[in-house]
Amino acid sequence: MRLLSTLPDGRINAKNLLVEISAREYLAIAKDILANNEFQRRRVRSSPTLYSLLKEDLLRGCVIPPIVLAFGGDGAADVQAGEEVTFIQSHARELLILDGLQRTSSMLDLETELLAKNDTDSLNKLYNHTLRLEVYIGINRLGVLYRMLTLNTGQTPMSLRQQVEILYLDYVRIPIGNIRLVREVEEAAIDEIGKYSFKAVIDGFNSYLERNELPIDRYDLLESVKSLEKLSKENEQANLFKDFIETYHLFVVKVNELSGGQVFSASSLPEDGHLLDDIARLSFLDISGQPFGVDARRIFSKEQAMAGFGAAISKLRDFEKVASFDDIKESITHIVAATTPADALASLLKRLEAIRLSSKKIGNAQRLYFHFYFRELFNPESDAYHDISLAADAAYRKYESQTM
Amino acid sequence: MAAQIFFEDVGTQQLTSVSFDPEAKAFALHAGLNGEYVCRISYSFLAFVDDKMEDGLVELFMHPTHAESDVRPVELSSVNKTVGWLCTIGALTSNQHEHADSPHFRRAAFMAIRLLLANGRYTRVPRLNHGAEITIADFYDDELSVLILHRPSIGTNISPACAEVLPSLHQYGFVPLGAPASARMEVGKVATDMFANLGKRICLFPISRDVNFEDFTSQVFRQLLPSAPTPLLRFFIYYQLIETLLARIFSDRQSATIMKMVPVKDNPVKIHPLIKKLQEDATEKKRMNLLFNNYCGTGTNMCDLLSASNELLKECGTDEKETVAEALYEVRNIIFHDLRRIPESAMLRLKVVVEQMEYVVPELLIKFRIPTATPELA
Repeated sequence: MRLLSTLPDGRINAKNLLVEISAREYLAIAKDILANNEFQRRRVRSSPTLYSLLKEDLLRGCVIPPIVLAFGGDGAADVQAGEEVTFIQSHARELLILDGLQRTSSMLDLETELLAKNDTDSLNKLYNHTLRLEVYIGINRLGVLYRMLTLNTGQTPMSLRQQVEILYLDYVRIPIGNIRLVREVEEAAIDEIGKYSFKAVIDGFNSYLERNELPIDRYDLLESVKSLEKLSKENEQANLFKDFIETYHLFVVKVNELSGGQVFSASSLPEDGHLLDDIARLSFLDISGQPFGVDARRIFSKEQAMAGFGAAISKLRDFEKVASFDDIKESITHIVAATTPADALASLLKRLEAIRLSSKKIGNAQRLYFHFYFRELFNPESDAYHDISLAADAAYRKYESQTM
Repeated sequence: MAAQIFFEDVGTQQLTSVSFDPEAKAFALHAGLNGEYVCRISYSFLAFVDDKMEDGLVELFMHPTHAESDVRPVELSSVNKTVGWLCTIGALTSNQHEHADSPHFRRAAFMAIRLLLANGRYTRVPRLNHGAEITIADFYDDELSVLILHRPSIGTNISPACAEVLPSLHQYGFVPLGAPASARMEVGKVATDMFANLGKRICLFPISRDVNFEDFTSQVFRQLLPSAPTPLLRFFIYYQLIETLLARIFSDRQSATIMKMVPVKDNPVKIHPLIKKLQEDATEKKRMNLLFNNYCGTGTNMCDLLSASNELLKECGTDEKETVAEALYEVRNIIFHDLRRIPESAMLRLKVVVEQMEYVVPELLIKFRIPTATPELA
């Protein structure tokens, strides 16, 4: 690997390194990247014709456009001039491919194919091929996101949601204080305060970035441009994702404390699996279906609630009703319930059940309701400010006026 | 199979087949000349891969209030048993309704998705993006309603186009797909309330075999009514259906009268009242009375249509009528022959009349029976 030039990127406050590298060395790095981030393993299903064309071109020594990588971890800011290459080589597992995933996948496929055929000549041709890489270092995650979106505009598209998944997957491995993000496959293991589904949190954070509670995961150019506009408003120094989940967690802890672990049931018979102390706290909702969640923790660990929270907070920020996540954290300490907290949650569950019974798309309708709920709860100008009882009712009135 | 799928990198490709991959828990759509392009549609519920595709039948409808949680078993009056399901597209892959875990529903849902993917009448153009999870909602608007029928259970009672039960579904506000959004019929509250108050199942009643105008009624319910956005146009179309029944009544009575005339054709005293009877039967007003009173039974509650029609007549300065047949006939006269007499304010009343007809006219088609003994001639 050879450093060709270094340029500062003022927009995202990072360094852009242009390096030359052999295909052999790059493929070793690429395998590390893909092994480390499954979302980067999702592939565009390419046509056999295009694939064989690229394969032939590679073996004939064509120049491949630079592949763009980024290092989003800590430590890059201290890298001295002349140490960049060593730094990249020693942090290969933490790199992300911002642009060139398809080219990388095709090269890896070709390598596998040639190894299977034991075609040493062609393999050597491939390995000796020189590639150019652009590597961003000292970049924060929002900066990576910003560059991902700009680079992907007009190319094989990824939605903002997919890029957020790629970028924040490492939080599944590293706890954030008392918070643990759990992969979808282990969702049954979300059994205590502080554990959240990675998918649900990504949904919530994506809703924050999009200012929209709906699950938009289909790419279009307009979406990308809008996302860029929204991202450009964010403070690039802040660790927004961490702020987001920490604030939300604080809210869940607060409501859980207020409710005293109250457990809800649709009917008068306790459900199987309830512990004895749960049964002692059982409250009956008199609804026909299963409750949206049987207690505060389960209600607010669902993606509908997190998406509503994300969209609501971002809207309140845009309307300058709150300035930051710190404002929300402060607000959370003042949350009360005009009725009892248990009644407030019961009212929330009954509203959610009414929405389930009447809406054409239950998930989206519940997201919209939670969006209004959190808007009411954290808007200083709302009559339901800081009150989980009033917020449940006010949000439902707003939901009805929007949908009926 | 004419369905087309758009792939981001290779463009539009022709659909060749649909299969299910149990390991990947996904349907696989094969496209391209040799099925070389594959797109997977995730489906994590129970799969019934051994069921025969030809055993299923699906039809899509629009409905203004049909909710995702509202999944109903469908009964057919003529066979008196459950023959399928009515739900939204979203409900096929939802676990938010009471039948989500029912193996009977899951079997029907699996069949429905397979048929919907294979028939290619997609309401959305699926764009296959990098890494995006594809679901049935990428192909069909998940707010649409889908009627799933089990062919062996319905036997020959319903044709593949479901024409016989379109009026019954129309009564509850289900409109076949087809009309563009700008010219789509607006389903009235009467129909949506009827559906909401129906109970947990829906029973479909095929139109009477005595109607004998299946092609026309199918055309009306599948094409004409769904794309009739105004109450005036819909009144006209509904009344055309009434006219077909009136024609059947005339034909029935004419045959019966002629049969009576033949033996007395040389007897002027006896034939005269029969000729008079024939002339009376030619009047629409009389046949309207016969339709409501004799040919469609007396069980149907038409009070709301009577009062809605009388409200309209009052607004137009015409006397109220005693029976629904008389009132509707009078409304028809004003609309067909004297439209200028209807003040603008009365058009709202016409909307109410038409909302009632949305239920009543299909009811007439379902209950219509040629009596074994012709009324008044027996």
